[in-house]
Amino acid sequence: MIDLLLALTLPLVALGVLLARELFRAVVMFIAFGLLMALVWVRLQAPDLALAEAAIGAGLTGVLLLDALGHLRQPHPPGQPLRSLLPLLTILALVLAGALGLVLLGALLEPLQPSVNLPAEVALHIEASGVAHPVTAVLLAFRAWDTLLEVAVILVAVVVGLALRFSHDDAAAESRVSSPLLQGMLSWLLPLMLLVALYLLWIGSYRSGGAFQAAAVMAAMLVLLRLSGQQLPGQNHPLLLRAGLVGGLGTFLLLGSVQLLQGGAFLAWPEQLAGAFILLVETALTFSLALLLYALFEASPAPARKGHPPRTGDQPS
Amino acid sequence: MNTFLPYTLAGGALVILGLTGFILHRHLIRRLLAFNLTGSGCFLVMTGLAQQGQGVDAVPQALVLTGIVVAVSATALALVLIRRWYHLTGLTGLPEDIEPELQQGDNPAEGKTQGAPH
Amino acid sequence: MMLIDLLRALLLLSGALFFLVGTLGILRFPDTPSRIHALTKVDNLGLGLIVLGLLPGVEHWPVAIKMILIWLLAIAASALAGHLVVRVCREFRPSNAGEQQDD
Repeated sequence: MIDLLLALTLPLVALGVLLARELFRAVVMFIAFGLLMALVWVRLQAPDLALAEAAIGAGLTGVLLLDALGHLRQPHPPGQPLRSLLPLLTILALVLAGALGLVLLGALLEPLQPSVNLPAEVALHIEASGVAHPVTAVLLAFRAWDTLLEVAVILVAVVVGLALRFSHDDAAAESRVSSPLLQGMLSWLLPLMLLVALYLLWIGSYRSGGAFQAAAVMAAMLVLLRLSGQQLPGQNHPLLLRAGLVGGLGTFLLLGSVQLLQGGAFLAWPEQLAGAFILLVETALTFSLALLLYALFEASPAPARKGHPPRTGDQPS
Repeated sequence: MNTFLPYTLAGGALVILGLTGFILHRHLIRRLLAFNLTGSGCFLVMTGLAQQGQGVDAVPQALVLTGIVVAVSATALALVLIRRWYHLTGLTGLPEDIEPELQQGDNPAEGKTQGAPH
Repeated sequence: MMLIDLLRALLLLSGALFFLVGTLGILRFPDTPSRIHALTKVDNLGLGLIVLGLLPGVEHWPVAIKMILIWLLAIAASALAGHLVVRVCREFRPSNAGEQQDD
């Protein structure tokens, strides 16, 4: 019953996102959608995903979108969000969507006949992985290659973002809010957020939690710090920042090649020390991913001068 | 009925809604939102479909977990590109989407402000 | 045992009711400050009631502490967020803050 209700709400909120007249409303609906997704992950018995979605889907993405909206003050008409170029194209798109819907419905109702029982496989080999939580075991032992490459993908995104940045100073300057209450509260909240992040990192080895969730909380902490106008320690040391950005991937690669030296496979952890190696990699990943996610926020370029968009590419800073 | 089935179907609906929105919208941020909806739908289909037959499955969960983080970095990168594009041209859509409307001239005020930087 | 279950059900139901009323407030109130009023006051009370209703059912005391901590954090966060939103609101519309504004 509750599943039906929640599953029905999800597409309705998505429709709200797509049909909202104002862009701001669409973004707020999207944040609500992220929160709903977190609830859905709980119902799907994926608390790891719920944690990540609550911090990232609802928190970080929302901040990013709202920040971008603040800089895109443009004379775009608010009405008729779905008005298309040609009526013919609209009809065509809707027909194709309907056809795709029918195909998907048929495919999704068909029960899967997998040749390998993955949950059983995971349960069988979890002893050897060095950790007790299946999701962490998959992430950092069974499918460590995927995780490694995904961290690399995020690093590439951040590098491109930083390359497109206009200047250091005025990135988020406009959105700073100063308030004595905020400053007072931050000194309470920030240590608590750090504690929560480290707790998530630590329990990842035997329960829901781990590097990605901890990094999301830590990145949220950094963004909060930045938005409140605080100076971050090491903010003006580009080298330090860059070292932090590549630190996670570097540690992952370095520790992954330890077995390589002894004739083993890449990313195969030493048998006795697997747990310790995974914890080390996770710790490095947490701090590095937090910085990466924060740098994505920071990488947003300077606001456009109102009414005077520059004609050609202007010089950075 | 299986607990996971409604969410799988909802994921399929999200994919379709997101794709349709992505095609029909012209504002780049709206397109980005639609794209993210499609992504969430894919995540739901992946997890829900895998768990329907065999119960809770850690493998798709782990893949989706990294997927969520990659999705936010893709979104952030897209936002950087959109803002850069807006800064350079003053447009919030792609030129090939906006041009035909200028020719039709159904909204002259919009056409003037948007076409100015060219 | 019976009595405790009844009490818990009552607490949970009234908590849900408060959430319903708070949501109604956000949807129906005309201006931002009163919407925030509905959101911060009513929802925190609802959350408190729900936490109170859930407390007798927990098995380990750390879980209970975490739940209470979540409630306290929600109170602090909503107070702070409400304060900031209203501040920005007044900054943008200094002349008629708190009256006759929509959205």
